[in-house]
Amino acid sequence: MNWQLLLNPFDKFSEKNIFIFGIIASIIGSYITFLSGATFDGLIEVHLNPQTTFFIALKENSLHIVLITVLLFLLGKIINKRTRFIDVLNAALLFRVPFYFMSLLLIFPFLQSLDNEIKKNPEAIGKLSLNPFDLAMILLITCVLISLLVYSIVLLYKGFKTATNVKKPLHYVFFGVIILFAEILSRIILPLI
Amino acid sequence: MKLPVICPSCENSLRVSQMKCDRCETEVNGNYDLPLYLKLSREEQDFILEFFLSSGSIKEMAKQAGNSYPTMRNKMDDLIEKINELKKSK
Repeated sequence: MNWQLLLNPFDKFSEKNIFIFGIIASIIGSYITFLSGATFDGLIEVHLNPQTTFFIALKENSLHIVLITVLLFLLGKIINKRTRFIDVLNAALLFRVPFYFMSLLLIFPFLQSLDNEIKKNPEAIGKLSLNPFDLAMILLITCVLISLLVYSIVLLYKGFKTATNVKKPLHYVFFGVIILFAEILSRIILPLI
Repeated sequence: MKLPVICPSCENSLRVSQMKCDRCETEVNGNYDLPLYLKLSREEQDFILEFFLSSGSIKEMAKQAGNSYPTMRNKMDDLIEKINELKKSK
């Protein structure tokens, strides 16, 4: 398996191929999110919400893609005037792909029942009795979720780096600030739409 | 044979001190600057040649090399930056 290609697909694949893949993945990913009853209530967040519909998942997903694209494109234009919108958009589209796998993981029934129990009685979170198998599964799923989150940031970073040719450490700081800013902004905008 | 452009000892740029005619064996000694193109690495020289042969189309070059357009453009930008620095330090 070519790991380099997985870590930086922007290096080899044409913008057209990445764009088509990203759009199809967004639609399928939103559908998976709807099936698993998850919600993207922040740029880098996935939570369980049984009221999610396909339209809500698609709307949340689209907002995150547009938000991070616009913010990173503005930063990219300041850093390098030759930055193209399509390259930043592609970075944002692929950045979302690991989140679809995250929502897929939330399909596990025991996670859903655990979530229901916590929601019913949030104060009893420390008193929950979990059997060793459930505990091991939760730990395993947590590790996979964290890995997927890191992978999504890596994809966004590599895509942004390819789109703008950034090299200075200060630019990486700005990149981090933009992610945090987009997270805050998405939490403000989502309830309004 | 590959022309060395960097000193293997101190990594400073090398200069031309001797040239020789293959036919009559006349030798010219002096202290000449290497042309800018020759100060670039072999890979960078090949890149410029490829760019020329593809009629200046980065898109075409990217397609031939199996790379994406922005990757190729970044290589080009880095090379332009390097050539500008070499021109300044002349």
